Amino acid sequence: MFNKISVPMFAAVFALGFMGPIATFAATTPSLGVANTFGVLSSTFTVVTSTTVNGDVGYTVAGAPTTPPTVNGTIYPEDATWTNAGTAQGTALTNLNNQTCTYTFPDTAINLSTDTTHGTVGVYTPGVYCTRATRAASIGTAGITLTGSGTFIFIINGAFTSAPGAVVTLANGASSCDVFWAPTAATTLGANNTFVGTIIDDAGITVGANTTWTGRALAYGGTVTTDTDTITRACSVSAVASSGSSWATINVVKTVINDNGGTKKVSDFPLFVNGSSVISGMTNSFPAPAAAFTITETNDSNYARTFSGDCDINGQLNLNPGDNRFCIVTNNDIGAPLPVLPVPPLMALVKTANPLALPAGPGSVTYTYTLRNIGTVPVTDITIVGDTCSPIVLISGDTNGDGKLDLNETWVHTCQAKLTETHTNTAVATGWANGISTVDIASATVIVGKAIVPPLINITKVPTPFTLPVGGGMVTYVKTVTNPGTVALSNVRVTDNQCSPISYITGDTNGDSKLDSSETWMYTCRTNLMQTTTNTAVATGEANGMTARDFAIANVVVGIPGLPNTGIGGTSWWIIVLTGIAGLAFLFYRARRKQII
Amino acid sequence: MQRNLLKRILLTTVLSGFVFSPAILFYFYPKNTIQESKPILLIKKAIDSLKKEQPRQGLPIRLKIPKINVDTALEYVGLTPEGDIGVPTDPFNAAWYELGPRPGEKGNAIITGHFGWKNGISAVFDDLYKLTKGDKIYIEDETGTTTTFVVRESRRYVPKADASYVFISNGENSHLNLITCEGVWNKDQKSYSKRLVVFTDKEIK
Repeated sequence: MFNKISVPMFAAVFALGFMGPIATFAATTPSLGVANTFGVLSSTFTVVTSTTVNGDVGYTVAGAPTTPPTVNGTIYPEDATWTNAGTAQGTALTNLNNQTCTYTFPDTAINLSTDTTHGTVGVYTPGVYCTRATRAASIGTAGITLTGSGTFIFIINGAFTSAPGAVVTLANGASSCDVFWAPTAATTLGANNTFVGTIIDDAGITVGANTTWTGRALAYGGTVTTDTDTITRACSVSAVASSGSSWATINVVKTVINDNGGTKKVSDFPLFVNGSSVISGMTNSFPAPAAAFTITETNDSNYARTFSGDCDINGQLNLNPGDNRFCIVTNNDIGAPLPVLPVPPLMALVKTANPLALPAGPGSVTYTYTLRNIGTVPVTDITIVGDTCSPIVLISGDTNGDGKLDLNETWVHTCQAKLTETHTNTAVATGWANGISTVDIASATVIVGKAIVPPLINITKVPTPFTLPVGGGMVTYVKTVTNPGTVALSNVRVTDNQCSPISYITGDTNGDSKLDSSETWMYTCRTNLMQTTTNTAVATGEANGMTARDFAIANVVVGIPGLPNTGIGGTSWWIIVLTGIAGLAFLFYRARRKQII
Repeated sequence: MQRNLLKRILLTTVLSGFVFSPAILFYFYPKNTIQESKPILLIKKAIDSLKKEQPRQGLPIRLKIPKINVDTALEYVGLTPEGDIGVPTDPFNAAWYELGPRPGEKGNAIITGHFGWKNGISAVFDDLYKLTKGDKIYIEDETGTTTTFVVRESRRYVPKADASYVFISNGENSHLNLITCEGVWNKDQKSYSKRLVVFTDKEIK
């Protein structure tokens, strides 16, 4: 959702043949805070005939609609939540207005459907698009397409209008939750529109009849007027086509190990792909095929960095169209050893989609994220980032309500999205314990328009032990591979970047060499570790012409030896003094003896 | 009578000096220079397991540093009970830390050597501080193969400093780090005030 890659910027990079760091002005999705769950937020909400709002609704007592809308959500009539949502709306608008324009239109009123100055007519890639002072913007009958998995912001320094029948189309991973419209004058959408995104406009938002709007009408200080419309605030995500596409995705996942007294967190290491800022766990779309994408970060000399996943050891990878690539970046602190080795946490994220296929075409999908603690210590500060679905809501599992993922707990989250094309959704869960982070990645593909059931696969990996004393020793990894989907998987493969060989132990109960939904396949691998190690296992399985893939990332903390005491000092002077005294005494004795004789 | 008494005192002093000198000598000999040459069973198991992995670099047997006239045999050491790297029993030998990589393998191989000893009689790494960037170090292994390392930098640490940088490296390259002591001798702690680490990288041909 917080995708930050500016496609025009990449086009420039390629044109120049320059792959080093470049200045970035990528658009970012602001937090909507309390306002996130609202479909309509207003001072006055006027409903002409009827309207359906799939989301929360807020208005003042005096501004309540005389014709009640159908609200599939909660109504907040001038209460504290309404007020807080208004504050959140203001914060989000400030964020939008403070973002640097990636493209500023010519000094005239702009028809977004026909403008030729920004790039391809009617097509917009992620970025911040601004009109000049007092200049209005409109969407013509030809509509526009927003393409790419990133954030689209339209700063309109005037009125915003759309023609009757105008359609805003999402493509190549674009999400309605990453589209924002911020006009300074009133918004007027025409009738029979298909509109997308969040409009923040206290000057008022008026929607023509029979318009379907996936997004939010936020006008806390103004009037929202609708007429036989449907407003849905849940995200709608377009697919990144897997074939024939010129796009692929990179998801950079950060894990941090503070086993020597460090205190840095994931956010302390800004991440970049070819110099453009990305956020850990967020999926970003890039032109493909392309070679030598380089993942970098803002270095900290007190941390050692290693790459794993699809990256090579230098953080580089290549992209082919349709690829969904993951680069895992581990930062391990360098510092004086702790008196007691910290035990790293470990958790497993399993993701399923219901339904797995939408053969009849676009529709809603519910993703379920099941999070378990498969380590030995409770996990705190848990976050789950879904690239194209928001919000991810905790449904159950924190039985004692302590906010920690305890050893016996299973947390269930859900998120709903409307899919228009086949799409692979990725979620990344991050948690902490004893200064060490644990991450897990889970992906699920939903097929739209075809009656094909996609494969799902899950792998977990548990090391024994989690810590090793100074000098290191043997670790046994037990890998468990399951099939959360409904179709049996063939050609199941398991690899590990730090351990080999991997031995299959048991699990194929019916002996058909396919990983069935009811089966749990076990593998083990033993290796000798001499230093704190993050290793990444990858499981793949195939069904119906598609390949499912999952990662398991585990840390083992190993103590570091102390420096040797190689000094041999202090003895020589004592010996010299002692020998000297003895020698002098002997000479004195001989002299005295001669005198006696 | 007084003469006899004086004679007896002098004779006793001389004899005592000769009798106790070796005892005092061994008393002041740093304990951990001679006690930790036998790895404990657990560590041995780990090494046995390591040895099964193929392919591996041959076991190192000799260290040569022409610039400071070092040409010495290598002992093998593990850890002391305090968790520090062991040191050679013979002050003229250097010692390879056998729980880490072998010189020439991926990662940081470690070799330790003494500094100090008696005045006028050098320990193997007395002149280690003279090494500068670009100086070469040679390791002969049991197969007769010589691996060349090139000095990258030197660093000085206090004895209980974080040593992770010495032991941990990123990437696929081979490094050899030489460790000894320097600074001021602390007779109570039987330790010098600093540790000198010379970092080297395997020469790329």
